[in-house]
Parts: sequence; structure tokens; C-alpha cells
Amino acid sequence: MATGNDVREIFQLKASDQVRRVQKPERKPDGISRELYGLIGNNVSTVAFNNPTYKPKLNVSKKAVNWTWRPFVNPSRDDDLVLQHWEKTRTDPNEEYRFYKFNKSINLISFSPEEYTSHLKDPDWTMEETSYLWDLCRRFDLRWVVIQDRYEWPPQEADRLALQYYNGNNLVISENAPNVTKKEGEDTPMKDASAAASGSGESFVQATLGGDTSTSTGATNAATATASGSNPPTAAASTSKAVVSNTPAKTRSMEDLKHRYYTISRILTKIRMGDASQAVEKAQLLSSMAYDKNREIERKKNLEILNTRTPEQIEEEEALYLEARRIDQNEKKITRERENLLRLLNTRDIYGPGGPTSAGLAGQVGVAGGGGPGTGIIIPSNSITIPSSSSPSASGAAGGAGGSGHSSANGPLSPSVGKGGAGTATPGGASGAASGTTPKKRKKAPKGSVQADDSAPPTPTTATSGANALKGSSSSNHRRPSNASDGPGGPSSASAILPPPAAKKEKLTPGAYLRSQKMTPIVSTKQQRVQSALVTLGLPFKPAMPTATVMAKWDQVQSNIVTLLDIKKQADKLESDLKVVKMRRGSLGSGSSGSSSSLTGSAASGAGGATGGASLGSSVDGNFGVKREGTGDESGTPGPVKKKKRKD
Amino acid sequence: MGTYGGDEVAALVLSVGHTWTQAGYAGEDTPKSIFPTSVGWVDLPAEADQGDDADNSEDTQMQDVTQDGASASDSNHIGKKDADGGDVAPQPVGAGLVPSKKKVTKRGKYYVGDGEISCWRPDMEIKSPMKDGLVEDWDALEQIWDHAFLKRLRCDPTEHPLIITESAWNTREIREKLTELAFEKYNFPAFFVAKDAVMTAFAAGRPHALVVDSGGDMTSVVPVYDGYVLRKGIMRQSLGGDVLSDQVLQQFKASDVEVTPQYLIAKKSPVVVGQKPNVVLRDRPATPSFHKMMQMRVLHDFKESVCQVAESTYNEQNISTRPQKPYELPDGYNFNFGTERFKVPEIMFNPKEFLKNPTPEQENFVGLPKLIFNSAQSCDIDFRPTLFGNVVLTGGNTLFPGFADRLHWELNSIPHSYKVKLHAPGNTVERKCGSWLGGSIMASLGTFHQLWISRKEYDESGSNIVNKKCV
Repeated sequence: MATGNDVREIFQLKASDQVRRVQKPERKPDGISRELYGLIGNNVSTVAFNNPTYKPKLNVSKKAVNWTWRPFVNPSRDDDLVLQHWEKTRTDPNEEYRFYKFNKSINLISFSPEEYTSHLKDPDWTMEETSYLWDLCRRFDLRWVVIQDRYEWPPQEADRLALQYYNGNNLVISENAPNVTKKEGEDTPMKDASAAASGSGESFVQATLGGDTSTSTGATNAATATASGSNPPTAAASTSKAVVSNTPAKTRSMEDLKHRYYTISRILTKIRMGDASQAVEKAQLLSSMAYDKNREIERKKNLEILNTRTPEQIEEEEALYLEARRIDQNEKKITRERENLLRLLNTRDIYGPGGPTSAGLAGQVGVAGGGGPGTGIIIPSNSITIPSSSSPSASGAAGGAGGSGHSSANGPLSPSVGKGGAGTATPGGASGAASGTTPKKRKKAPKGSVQADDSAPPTPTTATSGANALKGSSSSNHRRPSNASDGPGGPSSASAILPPPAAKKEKLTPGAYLRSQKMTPIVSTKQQRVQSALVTLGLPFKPAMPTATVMAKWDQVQSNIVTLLDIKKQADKLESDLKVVKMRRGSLGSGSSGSSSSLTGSAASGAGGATGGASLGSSVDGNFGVKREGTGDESGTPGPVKKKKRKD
Repeated sequence: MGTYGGDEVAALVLSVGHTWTQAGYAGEDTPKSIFPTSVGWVDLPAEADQGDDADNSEDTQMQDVTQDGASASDSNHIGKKDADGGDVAPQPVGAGLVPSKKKVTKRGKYYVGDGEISCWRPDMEIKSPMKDGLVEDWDALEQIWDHAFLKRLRCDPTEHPLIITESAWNTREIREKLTELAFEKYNFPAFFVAKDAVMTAFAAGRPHALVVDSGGDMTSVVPVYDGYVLRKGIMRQSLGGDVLSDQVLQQFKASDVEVTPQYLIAKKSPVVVGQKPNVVLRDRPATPSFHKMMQMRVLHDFKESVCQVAESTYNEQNISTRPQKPYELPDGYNFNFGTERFKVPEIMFNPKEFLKNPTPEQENFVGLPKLIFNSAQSCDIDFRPTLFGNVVLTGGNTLFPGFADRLHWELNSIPHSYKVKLHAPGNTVERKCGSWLGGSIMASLGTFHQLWISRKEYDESGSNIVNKKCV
């Protein structure tokens, strides 16, 4: 065992002799093991330690204590029964009996006949029965089980006498009760009058029958009744018998008895503790005397039911309980699973066919169009008011058309639409209405529009597209701007070109997985180019934070890039073909350059669209929106061209 | 001294049951004396005018004790010299005051105590003064008291307070008479009557209990609340050890076996199992009551040594695989008892099925579990869980091996949702003397001494005082 000295040695301190000197004189006391003493030695001072003497030795030298067989009187008794017991001789023979202090009895609030008549009347109870109850309560110290067991009204003669004996002289009522009863039977009005005379303003005082002249007599009668406690028992017995004969035996439940007792106790407490100074005490007392009979009855009834279940019922109940608990426990799990499922379903909805792209398109166009009129425009989907500060290089006519289209919510046949717009308005509105019937797209629409709102590049926007967008949105109740797109070929081609991502069925792989694993793989031949495109967009090869939404968009971006690359490839091919043709024509002579330029434009816009969309960090909409802008110049052409492409 | 609230005043405790009487000093853990409650006597010829009136009557008045030293002259177990100079003989109580309407039987000398009553005497009648827990024969009871205080304890009754036990359904008149007996005849300075069920609960250390007492004469279930018997919950039936013995006797008779008590046997020789006994009988004509008692003793021994209770429901197949037990009757007849030994105590649990040839009264018997359940059921519902948690088993008839286990099993198989806890002392003496033990504990408590009925109180209020003070 490491001692203090060891510690000193380790720390290269000087061994202290002083400590040693102190420790030396402390010897391990006898009768205690070394280990135990090590634990409770002088280090420990919190534990009080008395030298234990485990084996008290017989002390022969000590003189034996003398005991005497001595008579004693128990003060608890009212007779002077002398019993004898052994007592140490040196104790005082006149000392009070040791067990006297245990003689306790309960404090029962007793009542006088006057109080009874004035406050405590109950049609169901007579005064003598109440006092009988009181006697029982006193006799059995409020052991209600016993009281109810012994309760027998009218009581048997001997029982009554026994109670009387027990309660002695401290109870006025038990003995004079019969007399009072008799009087009560004779002249109730008088009693009531006396009650009135004793006069307290309690609300439950029985209504006095009043007008009786014998008020004073009644009071004196009552007084006599009280004083007549010294009646010989025989007389009391005879009267009680008389009472007995005309009242049938009653059975009272424990609730009846308790109710009666507590009611009276409450009333008496209220009466007697009138002082404000005792208010707190009174409230306490009253609350301790609260008793709700009906509730008790109900409780016992329920207990009874509970206790009389058959084993089958108990078993069934237990099974049900277990089941309930299981369900309860699983509920969380199930809700979580359901949420997951719902999210999955939602994800599916998000990629509704053609939804995202067209919505984005619409939103974008809407903003673009709205920029024109110089009035605040509410973007329908997310109700962001854009101050009409800058009207990006939109032509006046287009702006006017957009403004009027929006404000008057005119249909496809709006008269104020510009020339270019008029042609395309109708299909746009139609498509807008059509899309309005698919409410699931709604969710996506705000996003698109927000993004559009953010992105809203100051690119030249054509009047037609603006008007179209506005019309579409207005026709679809400001909330469904999706598909309120451009020319007849526009939306349809878009949806045709893009493989609808919703079609992709996500397989639920069991177990944990990384969401980045779920990325749709790109054909290896295109991978290089897609990656370079991503680089140009300033994106990493894999999303840094592959949340569900990010992944969804990421997939979208990827597929869009792939599509664009395909288109570009086609365009390049066409261009080179065109060049060849041109060269051939050039060699033949000069030709028109319009169509060629249009093609170039469309191809360029495709690339630009890709860039624009990517620069937003979200892919859904950008490309086509921007592309529209690019192709907008020669409104008529792109449709057919794209169709052609698709056919290829 | 003073520890545990005890304060000994050298009180006597007397518990008179149907079969056994226990007497001793308060504060001790075993009665000083246990002897059969039955008394024997020889009827005197009609002209001898010394006897008293056996069944006389309600208005008996006790006379003071007179000492004539004439009693029990041939008593063979205790000397006649007492502390106060001689034996106390019973004086005719109330003789001649009220002529009884019944046939007057004049009894001669009484014989009390194990050795006395089991000794064969021609024409000796045997009787227990108790019936259904009530005193039936006051003369015989006086003999018992005499025997207990003067022959066994050999004390001076005037020096000791006395506490006796009574059944929970004891009548007012009987208690008053007992009080008279204690104060008038024996001059006890103080007296108390306690309910045996309460005392049993006390001995088990429980203020609340459901006391199941199965004795020789009857079986009772008494709920006790904080030291008070709940009268409405008392359930009893006279299905006890004697009924079981009687059934065994019937069984023997049915298989043509005569149960010959010891006193009749002069000589016997061993016989093969199940064969007729080879016995020479004495010519000892005895009264039927004596013969019956001696037979019962044999059967009692049979029950003690052979019978057993099936731990769960009685299943003939399972039971038949249990080992058999051999038993030899006094006359040499012996047999190996298999299922029979389980069938006997089974009567306690299923009297309808196992009680053979029941009398009309016996047909209404119910099993002990049902009796217990009914008793608890008649109490307040809030109190029932406490009762079921404190079932106290007492009485000699509960000493069959497996009785407590079976009862516990049965109580649990009745549909209810209470937790049953059975208190059955393993100690045989505690089981047999539960009520005496409780009285012994109570009478040695310091706080109890205020409850005694004193001589003075008796003188002032008369014997009715017992109904006021002992509830």
C-alpha cells in the first residue's frame, strides 16, 4: 500500500517526521480488522466511529441491577386496577405509567342538538341515527370498514349500550337522542323555530316554518334535551325502542356514511371557524374533508368491474394492450417510412413530363415580358412584385402587349397584341389552359419562375414570347404559367427532345447507399464532352452536396447537356452540309443567307442556353428559355428545324 | 424490558378450541400446557344427588369457589398439593335454581387431560364442551378451566389477569357467562375476551388479515381489519378434521376393515399386507362416545402420517404415480395407501365430489377457496386487495403436507386480479396455537393493560361489561 512517505519519495520531498509522530500513537483498536481500519483510519474523519465491542463480555465485577415485582396503576384506566410487573428497583415507583402516553383518541367534531336542528338536517337522516353514526365513528376511530360492518340501524340494544358506555359522558347526543327524536316527531315546527332562533345565516339551514309562537319553548326544550344526558339507560332504551318500532331497518353503504360524516364535519368546521384569522387552517381542514360520494360510488363500481374480469378477458385485454403498445411504437417508424414514400412520389411529380422545362420557360418569359410596361408586375407563381425599374431592351410594342395582356387578363384574342404575338398567342394560351388542369405541375412552377426571376438576363426578349407568356399565365389564373410558351412547336418539341426524367424509375436499393451512386450514368463516349461542358459551367464532376433536390437537378443538368451536345452535333452537321451546299451554290452563283444565319443562331443559342442555365446553378429551365431568346429572332423557323432534328 | 412495548403482568392466556385447549403465560412463545378439550365422566346412579345439571340454562348464577379437595383424587399426573393448599373442586353451579326441562343427567367425577380421558373406564362418557366454536356444556368447560389453571399451570387465579379467546361469532350470552365464570368462580383480578381470528392475525404480525382457521370441528374464514373482526365477512361451515376422519372411517368400513382402537387390543401378531388382522381383543365394554373418540385418535394418526394434498388440481392419473405409503392400524392390519391418501384432504377443496354419503347439511358445503373468496368478496372493495395479500392459515387441519401450496394455487385460479399472499407458519406449534400465541403477545403489551375488564368494573356493571369492552 502506498503511503504518504512513498509519495514524498517519488516527488523527492523530505520525509516528514512530524506526520509519523502523530500517527504512531494511534493503535488499531481491538475487534476490528486491519483492512477495515485502513479504510477508516485517521484519514477519514467524516464517519463517526465508536469503538465497537462485538462481544460484550460478562462483567462479573459489576453489581446486578435489582428488579422488584411492583404494583402499578395505569392512568389510562378510569378504574384503579392494580396490576403488577417487574420494574428496576431504582426507578421511581410513583412515576407515571410508561405506556400512558400511547393512549390517544381521535378528535371528532361533535355537535349539539341545536346545531343539528339548525344546520345539519337531512331528510334521509334522523338526528339519532346521525348521533349513532357519530358514536360508531368515535368507537372505531373512523375505521370506516369496521364502522360500515357494525352499522346497524336501529342498533341492537346491547350494541347501543356498549357504545354508550364507550363514549361515556363526552357525548351529549347518544343518550338523549331518543328523547329529542320523540319531540321532533311531535312538533317539528317548533324545532325549526328554535333553529331560527339559534339563527345563523347558513344557506343550507332549513327554512323555518316561522310564525310559531313557541319559539322560546322550542329552544328550552332543546336545551333540556341536551342536559338530559344523565337519563337512566333504561329510559333511553325504552324510548329508543319506541323509535325503532316505527322505522324500518336501514342499510347504509359506506359511501352514505362517509358522505354524511364529511358533510357534517364540513358544515361544523365552517360554522365554528368563522374567524378570518383561521382562514388558512379552515381551508386546509375543509379540503381534507372533501368527499364526493358519487365519484366514490363510480370508482368502486369500476373497480368491481375491473376485478371481476375473467381470465380470458384479462388475456384479451393484455393482448390488446400489447398490440396498442406495438402500434404506438411502430407509429413513428411508419410515419417516417410514409414520409419517405411521399417524398419519393413527390420527386416523381416534380419530373412530370415536360413540366419543369416549360414552367421555367414560362416564368422566364413572363418576367421578360413584364419588364416592359413600366408598371409593377406581379409574377403569378410566387407573387414577387418587381419594381418596374429597368425595362430591358424590349421594344415598345412588345412591352405594351405584355402589359395589356397581363393587366386585362385578356384571352388569346387580345386585340392589343403585337403582330408577332397575335399568331402565337392562341396556342400559348391553349397550352397554358391545358397545363392548368394538371395541378401537380404547380409545385414546380414557382421554382422555375423564381429562377427565371433571378436569372432574367437583360437579353433582348421578343414581344411575342412576352405576350405569350403573360397570356398563358393570366389564362391559367396567375398560378399556372407553365407551358404558356411560345410557338406551336416550342413546348412540344422540348418535351419530345428531352427524355422525360420522370420516366426514369428509381429503383429502391435495400440498405444504405450514397446518393451520388444514384447518378444516372452517362454513356462513356459522351462522358468526356459532358465533363468539359461541366467545367465550362464551373461545376465539379460530382455535386458537393448530393441532397435529393441537388441530385435531381444535377441529373437534369447532365441530361440537358447531353441533349444540347446532341443538338449541337446535329447543328454542326447541318451547318457543314449547308456550307457544302453553299459552296456548291457559290460556285453556281450568289444565294440567300437568311436561312443559314437562322441555323447558326439556333445552334449558338443552344450553347448559350446551356451556359446560362448552368451559371444559375440550376439546370431545369435555363437552356430552353435562353434558347428561345436566341431563336426568337426568326420566330418561324426554329420549330420546323427542331422537328427535323428529332426526326434525325 | 420495555423493548418492543412489552410489559409483562404475568397474565394467563387460555384458548379453548373444539379439540385442544391451550393454556400458558402471556409473553411466552408456546403454551405451557396443551391438552384435549374433551372431558370424561361417569354417570352417577340417579339417587346420588351430587351431580349437577348439565345443560342448564341461561340464568345460571355462579357461586364462589369452595375448596374441598375432593376432586380428581386419582389424578395420576399432578400432585394434589397446590400452592393454595389443595385442589379446587367444581361446585354445582346454579343447581336447583332453574329446573331444566331436559332429562337430568347426573354426572359423577370428571376426568380431564390426555392421560385421563384416554384411559378406559367402563361407562365413561366423553364429550367436548365446544360445538361450532360456541360453548355448549358449561360444566365441562368449568372442568377444563379447572384443569388448566389448577392442575396444569398450578397458579393462583387471584394473582393473574386472564385473557381467553373466543370465536368471532360467539354470542353475547356466552361471553357474559364466561365473564361471570372468570370473576365469580376464579376471582381473576382482570379479564379479557379476544377474538381468536384477531389473535391469529396478531400472531402473524398483521393488523389486517383474512384468517382461515380449519380445526377439528369446523372451518372458518374471518376478515380482520385493524384488530376488528368484520362480522359481515365471517364464513364458516362445520367441515373440519372430524369430518375427514369420519370419511376415512367410512372408507375402511366400505373395504370391510374394522378400526379397532388401542384400548381393545390384548395381543396381535403381524399379518401380510391387506390381510385380516390376527388379533386378540380385550373385553372392555365402553360407551360409544369413548369408543368413537379412541377411533378418532387412530384416524387422526392415520391422517397425520399418510394423507397429503395434491399440489394442483386433483388428477387421478398423476396421483396414482405417486409413491404409496404403508400404514398399520393398531390391530395389525396394514395396507399401502395410494390415491386414497390424497382423496381424504381433497374433501376440503372439493366437498361436492369427494364427500361420500353426505348428510343434508354436508351437501351444502363449499370448497375452502370458495369460502375464502366469498368472505373477501363480502368486504369493501378497497379492502379486498389487503385481505388477499394477508391470508393467514391456522388450525391443525391445515397441516396436511401440500395444503398451503394447494390453497395458494386454488386462490390464484379463481378469477380476480388480486395478488394472493398466504401466510402459513411452517412451525407446527405456531399453526396449531395461532390464537393462543396472539393472546400471549397481546397480553404482554404495555398498551394493552388499559383494556382489561377489572374486577371493579365487573362489580359495577355486571357481566354485560364484556360486551362493551371487548368488541
